[in-house]
Amino acid sequence: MRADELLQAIGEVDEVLIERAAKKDRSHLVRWGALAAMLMLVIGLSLFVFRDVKQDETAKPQTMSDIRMAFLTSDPYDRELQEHIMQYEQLSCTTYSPEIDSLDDRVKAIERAIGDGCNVVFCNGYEYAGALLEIADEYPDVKLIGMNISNDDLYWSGSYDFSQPKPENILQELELNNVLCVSYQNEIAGYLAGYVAVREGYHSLGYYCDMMVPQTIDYGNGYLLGAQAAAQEMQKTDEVIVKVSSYGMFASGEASPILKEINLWHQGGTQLVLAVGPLTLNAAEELPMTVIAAANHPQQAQSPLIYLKQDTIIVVEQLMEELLSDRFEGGKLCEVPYHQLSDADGDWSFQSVTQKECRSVLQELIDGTRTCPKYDYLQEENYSIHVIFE
Amino acid sequence: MEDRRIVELYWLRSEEAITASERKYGAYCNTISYNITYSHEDAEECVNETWIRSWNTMPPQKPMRLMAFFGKIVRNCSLDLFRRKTALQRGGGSVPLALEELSECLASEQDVEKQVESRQLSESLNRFLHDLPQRDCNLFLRRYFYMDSVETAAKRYHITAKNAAVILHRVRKKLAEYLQKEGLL
Repeated sequence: MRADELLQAIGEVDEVLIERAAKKDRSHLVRWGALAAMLMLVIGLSLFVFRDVKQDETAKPQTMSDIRMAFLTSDPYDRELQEHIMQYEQLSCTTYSPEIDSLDDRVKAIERAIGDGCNVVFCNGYEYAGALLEIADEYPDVKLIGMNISNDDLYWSGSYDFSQPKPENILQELELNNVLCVSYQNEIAGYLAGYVAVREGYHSLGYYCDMMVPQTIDYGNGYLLGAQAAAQEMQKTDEVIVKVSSYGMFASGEASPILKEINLWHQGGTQLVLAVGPLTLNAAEELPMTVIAAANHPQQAQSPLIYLKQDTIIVVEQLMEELLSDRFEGGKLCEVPYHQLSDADGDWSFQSVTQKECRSVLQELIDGTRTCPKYDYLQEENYSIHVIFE
Repeated sequence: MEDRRIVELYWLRSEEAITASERKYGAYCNTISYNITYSHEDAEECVNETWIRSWNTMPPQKPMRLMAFFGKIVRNCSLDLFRRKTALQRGGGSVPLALEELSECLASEQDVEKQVESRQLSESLNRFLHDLPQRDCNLFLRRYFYMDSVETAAKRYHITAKNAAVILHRVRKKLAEYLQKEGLL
């Protein structure tokens, strides 16, 4: 018998065994959990959405020199976030990158940072969700911050047993008290884009993203709900049509098929498109129509691009404040609504809807007066406007 | 989405089945494939091939364990691709192709014999693995089904790589003895 035949035969073993081996071994967590419960000090209370932070007398203020931060990102465009962290002058912050784009390498990059003495690791991008889950319980003294990482990203990361029902907070479920994940409420950003577009008079809209993943589904869902809300206010629900499509992959591949598809939409009467994802954004720059780009890197483009931009500064400043006052509390998932809607110069370029109105819609979404429910999938029956999935 | 619902979508010939599979098991399949092919492009190709093969096999199949079902398919696709690529590197494209063509001329009896042997081997392996302590069995499958590196597999079970290598060595030795006893070696 050749080794190859044995290898082949291993591929046919009992499925129960294959699934059991796929599950993460959590037996050691019971030990850590008990230990953590005994040793855990009560440090600053809820920093959820960075508001109503209660003063804690036991918190010990730190200085910048106490913090040795590592910065890891997969998004080459996200310079603003990095630059903003770097501008804290006395802060020691080193950038680390995985050698290749894989879970193992992301874990190794974080371990390298910790090995170099970093006590705060700042990971930006949903790709780090799995790495944080893999590593957190091994380094309970290191504060791990996952930016742009939601509960869904953690759940679908491949490092969580997703044959189990999704807990409300995976970090709490796994007792990962040194991890704080921050995600933007992309559904709210999408809502603003859809709302403003319809209020502005556009009635034939499009939503295109690189791939349907939790974050892009949130953008798309919000966009449809926002367009629907404006259409209802204007009593035009019968007139508003939104085409929805995705390319099916992230980052690798050609932008030209996307360009071709959206151009076909344009020829068919689509007036405005919300573009999400690096590939779609590349295509969007060449589109002969109004584009709202969910992007953090305003750039020159032929089409009239409007940017839906995550406000990273407010989030970073709040995080730094938490770290410096030793009120950092892990095990939390913070969802922040902060997004800016403007053109590349930061100006407001809509005619029929004012910035003040837009802010008031945002406030209503935050305080719950206006609702924007989340859905796991984009489905036509969730909306009263005409949605076409292509 | 529940696995049962995903299988239903395949049976209903809804393309949403592929989206749901990609979403729930894309990362899992990609990891298996990448461990074998060590190439993002190839892994992506194999994962896509997995959805196509699943589409072609459901119906009539109705897998009870979808995760393992996809895992097996993506592993086979990836091993096939790996073999094709390494064969190409060794002797250009014509030799493996010629062998593949000639294999059609071989007596089907040999194929049947081989299939029976292969089934016997899988059955013996199953019995062997079921009798192993759970951690050793998991470690063996992480290394030889999921193709994790020894270091990665060790980390999963919170043991050192050296310790994992020793356990794997012992399991391999036991397996050789077992297969000999079963008359398969």
